[in-house]
Order: sequence, then C-alpha cells, then structure tokens
Amino acid sequence: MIARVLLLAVLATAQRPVTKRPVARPVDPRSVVAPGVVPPVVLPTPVPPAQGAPLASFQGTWLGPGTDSTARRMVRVDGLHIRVSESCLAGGDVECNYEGDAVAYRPLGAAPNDSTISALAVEYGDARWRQSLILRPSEQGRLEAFVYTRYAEAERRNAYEHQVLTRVTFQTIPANIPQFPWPPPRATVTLRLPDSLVAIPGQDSLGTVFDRLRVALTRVDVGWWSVYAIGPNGFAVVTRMEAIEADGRPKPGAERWSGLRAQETPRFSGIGDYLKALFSARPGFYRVIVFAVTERPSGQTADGHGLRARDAEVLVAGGSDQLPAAMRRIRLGADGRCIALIYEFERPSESDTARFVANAAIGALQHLTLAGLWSNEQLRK
Amino acid sequence: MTKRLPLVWCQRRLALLWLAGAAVLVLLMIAQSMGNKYGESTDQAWGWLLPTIIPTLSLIVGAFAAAARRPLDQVTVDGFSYRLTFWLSVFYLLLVILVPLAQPLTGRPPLELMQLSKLWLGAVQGIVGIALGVYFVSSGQTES
Repeated sequence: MIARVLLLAVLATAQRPVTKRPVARPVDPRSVVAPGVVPPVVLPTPVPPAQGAPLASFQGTWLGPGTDSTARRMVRVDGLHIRVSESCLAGGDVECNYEGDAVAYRPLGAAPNDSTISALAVEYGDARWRQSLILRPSEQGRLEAFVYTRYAEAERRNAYEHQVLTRVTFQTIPANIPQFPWPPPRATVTLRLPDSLVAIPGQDSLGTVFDRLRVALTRVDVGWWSVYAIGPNGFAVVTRMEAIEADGRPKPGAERWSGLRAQETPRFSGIGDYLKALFSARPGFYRVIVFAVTERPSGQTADGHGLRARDAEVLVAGGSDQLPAAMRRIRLGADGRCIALIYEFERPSESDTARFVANAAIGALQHLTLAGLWSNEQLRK
Repeated sequence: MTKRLPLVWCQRRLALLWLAGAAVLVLLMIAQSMGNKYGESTDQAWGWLLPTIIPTLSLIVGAFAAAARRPLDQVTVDGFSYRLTFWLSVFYLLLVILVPLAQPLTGRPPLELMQLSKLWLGAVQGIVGIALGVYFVSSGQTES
C-alpha cells in the first residue's frame, strides 16, 4: 500500500517532534552506555501510519502478552517517560527495566495547534545492544508496539517484534474501608435517585456525590452514618436505625435515633392511654436507608432474604465515617447512579425482636420525603 | 402475751388473700395475653408469673385443705405470727402486681422488667415463706 510507509523514516523527515528530543536513559544496571558502538537502528519493516490520539490515551500501564511476541513486555507511560519491563536483553532469565524519554510525533498534515499524537518513540540500550520502541494507538483502546532490537555481537541477530499492548487496570480497593455486600440484601423498597440530584454519571467524582449525600444527611441531623466501598469504584452510605411511626413519619425528638433497644418515654394524656399501654402491645417501626453509588448492576442476593435487624445494626456500626481520599477522586462511570435502598423493620411488641418488612405500606419516595432528605419535587425530577 | 387467734379463721383469711391476689394477677395476664401485649414472648411472661405465686399459693391452699379434714375449731395460732404472715403476703402480692401495672410507666420492655423484678421478688418470697413456716409451727395450741 502506498499509504504504508516506514514510520521512523517519515517521523524523521516529514514530521517534527512535538517536544524537545530527550536523551534516552538506559537503566539496566549491567549496562554501560557507549554511544556509537551499536549503529542506529535500521527499520526492516514498514510501520503503517496511524490516526492520532491525545497524549492522555497513551498514559498508563500496558501489557503485551508473550503469545503475541517473543517476550512478555510491560510498558508504563507517564507523560513522555516510558519504562519497559522485559527479559534482560543482555541475556539471562531475569527481568530488566529499561526507560527513556520518548519523542512524540504528530500525524501527517496535522494543524500546528493540533496536539494529537500519532506515535511515541523511545530508544534505549548499551554498548552491546540497542532497542527502539514505537507506540501508536490501536483499536479498542489498545496500543501497538513496534520493537526493533539490534545487537553489537555478530552472533546475535537483530530482531523485530510487533506486539499489541492492553491497558492494565489496577483495581485498588482501599484497605481501610469495608465492603458493602453486593448484590445488596433484599430491600423493602428501592428508588433510583434522579441523576441531577445526587450523582451525574460520567461526570461527578465519588467525592462530589458523597458530599451531596452528606449535605442531605446533615440537613436531617442523622449525626452518624457508615460508609462502605462497593468494589473499587463505588460506595454505600448506611444511615442510622431510625424509629418511625407506622405511616413513615419519624418519631419526635431523641426517640428518632434511639435505636432498636431504646426505652421509649411514656406519654399518657389520660387513663385511657395508660390502659391501652397496659393491655396492648406497642409496636415499633424502624428504617435504615442505604444510598448505594455504583456502576454495578443491582439485583438481590441469591437467597432473596431481607436484611435482618441485627445485621442492619452491625452495618450501621461497621463502616467508616468518611470516604477515603483515594476513592473521592474516582470518577463515576457512565452506568453509575445512586440507588436508595430502604430497609424497614417492625417490632410487633416491646418484647419481640424487630423483623424485616418485605412489603411496605409506603413507597420509597414517601420514605425519603418523610425522612426530610429531599422534597417530593426534587425526587420526581 | 400475744393474743391467740382461731386457726381456721386465719387460714381462711390467708387463703382468701392469696386467691384474690392470684386471681387479679391471672386475669390481668390473660387480658394482656389476649391483647398480644407480650407478642411472641407470651409464654415467657407466664413463665415469670407462675413460679412467683404458685408455690406459696399451693402451700396455703394445701394447709387449708388439710385443716379441713379434721376438727380444728379449738386450735389457735399466735396472733403476731398470723398478722406478720398476712401483711408480708399483702406486701409481696402488691410487689408482684406492681410489675405489670408499672411497666407502661417505665418504658422498659415488659420481659426485661419481669426479669429485673426477680431480684427483689425472690428475696421477699423467701421471707414470706419463712413467716408462713413460723405460722404453721405456732399452730396446734389449744386455747384454754
């Protein structure tokens, strides 16, 4: 094909580097840099031109499997600095790290103010060998690596490799924050909050979403909540056990947050109230709200059982009070959203234990509005 | 010297007191059970009541029944022992009935309060038992 030309030849003549040409820095401890000993690399294979891509798309850690090349290779791109981990070229079975500052090249015919880059090229080596690595964007977010290795020793043959590099995603799960079970335990009612209210997918960071939730929770004086991670890029906020009336209205005063085992202050307006309290049970109603911010598909646990009140209390007490800084910076993905999971519990009498309510008389929207978190209009947007 | 009282009269008074007290407690508990006051823990509530009154009630009713089998018209008991036993019984029965009656005012769960009341009810029940023993020992003296 006419369009297929030698990339380095083109790079050297028709294109000009975007940045100042850096000096390669070989770091193989066994090598001694001796420029000029190994002649410049002559490219034996044409490299097809590629469409450009922003420099940011080159950034990160890339892995080339051994099946696609002679060697398994890991390439880390940080700005224009490239670090390559592969089998030591000087020999042996150990792995060596080589690094150098790359030269970035524009596509042919790019406008002067176009920052698009078609390839990054770096060279490193010592007196016995030199290797040139050219990276260019490929399909599906991958990189193509063209590797040219030339040896000074006559008995070792120069080599050319083509390798497809796949981005390595490190899922750093913060160790200092426990995980919320996902899929979540079956909730009494659920509601996906409007995107504009709490979490804008693909735009907000987890920190921004958490701050919006915190503002809403502070507005109703929850006082304490528990934060859990949902995988590496999501989180859940579990509110305190809230004592409510049968119709979802919160209990007045301190009774609201007094928990399951709290002693209710008796209030009698007459003998009739006393006799009613003497001969009949005083049922208790409670709710725990979980705000889950995640990209993961929701659903319910395999057994389909609801959350037990005892487990809910453990959840409330078991998390962190803050979202770790490392998680705050993570951007919410395109499928990200905030789901309100409302777990309602009923205690038939003072002597009974609270039980999960599978079918609530009121909906999630009413629960959230009666709790004072948002207005009906805000939730219906 | 303490005045002596007819044994049959004393026994009837004590039996009436305990039966009346037990009746009030049992009726109260029945009404509460029917109102589902104790929910799933109704059996535990009855498990608190029965050991609280049945042993002493059985003793008194049993002694009353034994006395009915032989003529005891002339048998007397020590008046002080009788009065001590009677008022200790009144005090004990009031303590027992106070537990369910006061529960709505305390805000504590009923069973929790019942468990707590065992601390003082057990002690008073022991004293009532000793007083009843003294009362029965004091019987058998014929008024001259």
